[in-house]
Amino acid sequence: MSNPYIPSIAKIMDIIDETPDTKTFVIEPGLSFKPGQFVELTVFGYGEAPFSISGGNEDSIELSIRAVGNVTRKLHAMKIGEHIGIRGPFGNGWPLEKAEGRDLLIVAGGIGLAPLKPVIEWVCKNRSKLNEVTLIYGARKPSLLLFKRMFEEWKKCMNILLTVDEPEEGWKGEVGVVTKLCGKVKEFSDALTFMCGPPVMMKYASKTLIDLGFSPDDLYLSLERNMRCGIGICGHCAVSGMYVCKDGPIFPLDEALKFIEKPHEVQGVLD
Amino acid sequence: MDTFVKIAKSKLKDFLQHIMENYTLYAPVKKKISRFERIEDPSQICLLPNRTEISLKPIFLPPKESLFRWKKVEDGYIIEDCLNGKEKKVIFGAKGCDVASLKILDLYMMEVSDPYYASRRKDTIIIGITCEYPRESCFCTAFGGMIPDEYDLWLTDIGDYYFVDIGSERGKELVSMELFERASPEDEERKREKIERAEQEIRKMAKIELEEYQDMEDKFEDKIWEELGDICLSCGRCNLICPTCHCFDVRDITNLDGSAGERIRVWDSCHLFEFAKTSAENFRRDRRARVRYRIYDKFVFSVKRYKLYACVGCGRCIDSCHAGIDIRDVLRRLIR
Repeated sequence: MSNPYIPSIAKIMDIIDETPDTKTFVIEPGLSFKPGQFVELTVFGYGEAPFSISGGNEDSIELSIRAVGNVTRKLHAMKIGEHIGIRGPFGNGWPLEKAEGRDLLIVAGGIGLAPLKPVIEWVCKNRSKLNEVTLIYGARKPSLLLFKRMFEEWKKCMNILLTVDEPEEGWKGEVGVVTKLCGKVKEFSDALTFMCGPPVMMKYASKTLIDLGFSPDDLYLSLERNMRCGIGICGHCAVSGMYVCKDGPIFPLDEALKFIEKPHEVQGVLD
Repeated sequence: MDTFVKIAKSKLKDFLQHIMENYTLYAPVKKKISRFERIEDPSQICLLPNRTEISLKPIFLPPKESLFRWKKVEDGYIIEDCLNGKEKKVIFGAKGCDVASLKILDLYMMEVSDPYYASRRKDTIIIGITCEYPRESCFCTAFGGMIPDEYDLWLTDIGDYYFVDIGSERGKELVSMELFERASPEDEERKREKIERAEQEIRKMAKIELEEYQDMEDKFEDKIWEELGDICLSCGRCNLICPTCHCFDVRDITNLDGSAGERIRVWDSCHLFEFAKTSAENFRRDRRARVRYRIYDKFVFSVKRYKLYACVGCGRCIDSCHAGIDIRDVLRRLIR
């Protein structure tokens, strides 16, 4: 068996500016992955960090990365043709098979749309297998909405509801938190929900959906922790004895609610 | 394996010499602190009456180790794996608590095989020895006592001889040498008494029995965590000294011009403030939450995942705690 700690060398083939702080890196070679899985990316000389895969296949993968720390800031300064290291894919992925024949609600906040983009692309390819599909997406400002270039395409196969906390000039959409939009999808209460975003967003959005009658076992959350090794050994991502990198990062809400050490994302959801 | 054997104390050196011809031998030595080291000469070995200050953990999971080295080249990077070839090891003179801890470490490190740990651990022969008399902090009897479930050979001092229990085929091969003699039922009786006496002593001090799984799940909101959080210094000593704590951090070290570097891992501690911090949030910001996490990880989460306590009762965390936290007191309150 190959050593899971050793990255394979990959090349940056394209860089797409998504927002002022987020870029999508197209990387070759790609790998076979399930939507919702992540990789550990090495910027040699700077370190390694986990990132969800936001698209691609065996030929190339996409990683949409916000510049927040050492590794990501250096990555943002890199150019097409430069090399990085990749380990993975790791994690369980979204249970797409469960969505077949049902309504699907996708709820994302900020960079949380990245691990959901492969789900959206799967939906567009397999549209006939699903009933109603709605994407609820919120960001702090309109300029920070990710993947705007894709929205027209996506709108052909799903409803898109957008909201921002702070409107900018020309913004005609909703203003307010994602939770507010969640309150408008009552008719969806039989839907399967995939959710990813900041902990506090997931907490209140989950609560809103539960109050509307959504069932906790139909609601899937992608948790983010400090996944250092990616294979469930180093202990940094452990929550209640579960390894987010290996047992997750995606957990059904009803399972997360049974954790003895409740993830911050679900604390008080049933209160 | 129904026959019992013994070895005269005067012949132990010959036995170890024989082992060293075929294996790398690790045994306790006493310098400033007592620990297991690679033995070059059997006279270095110091068989202590109870556990060493440092456990067996560093032999298999060193405090710091290189995972790989990288070098920048014309078209990318070259990676050189630091994984070493296997070493045929014999661990001699380990006490029950430390041998038991290896089984726990194996579960954590090899659920998904960690190649660095596995290459050090695989085929290691364990020759353990019964504690003469326990330390004040010992409480191995809470987890089944001084003799672990798995070993190759187990020695017990019965006067001029060591009684030898054989625990595996490999152990059986080792005692086929002429140095070993057949043991009598009296020898076995002497061994049994010796073990019973020492375990009795531990029970008297430890006053805690956990052999049956005790449900501590409902103590998550207990006020004990507030109290411990107030006195714990978050220094992480208990993690580092613990024979079963295995968490590590991954770091990169680069040379000055950025043309080459290495990735290392170093022991880490769930008591440290940054341990569960991400760019979004620190998920165990309160000291109370971190103290609780370690105890739950040893006594609740481990039972859920692996059906065992991730503690062997060696008492090292008790001896090393700056704040004087005694895990036996904590457990007594939790199982009350």
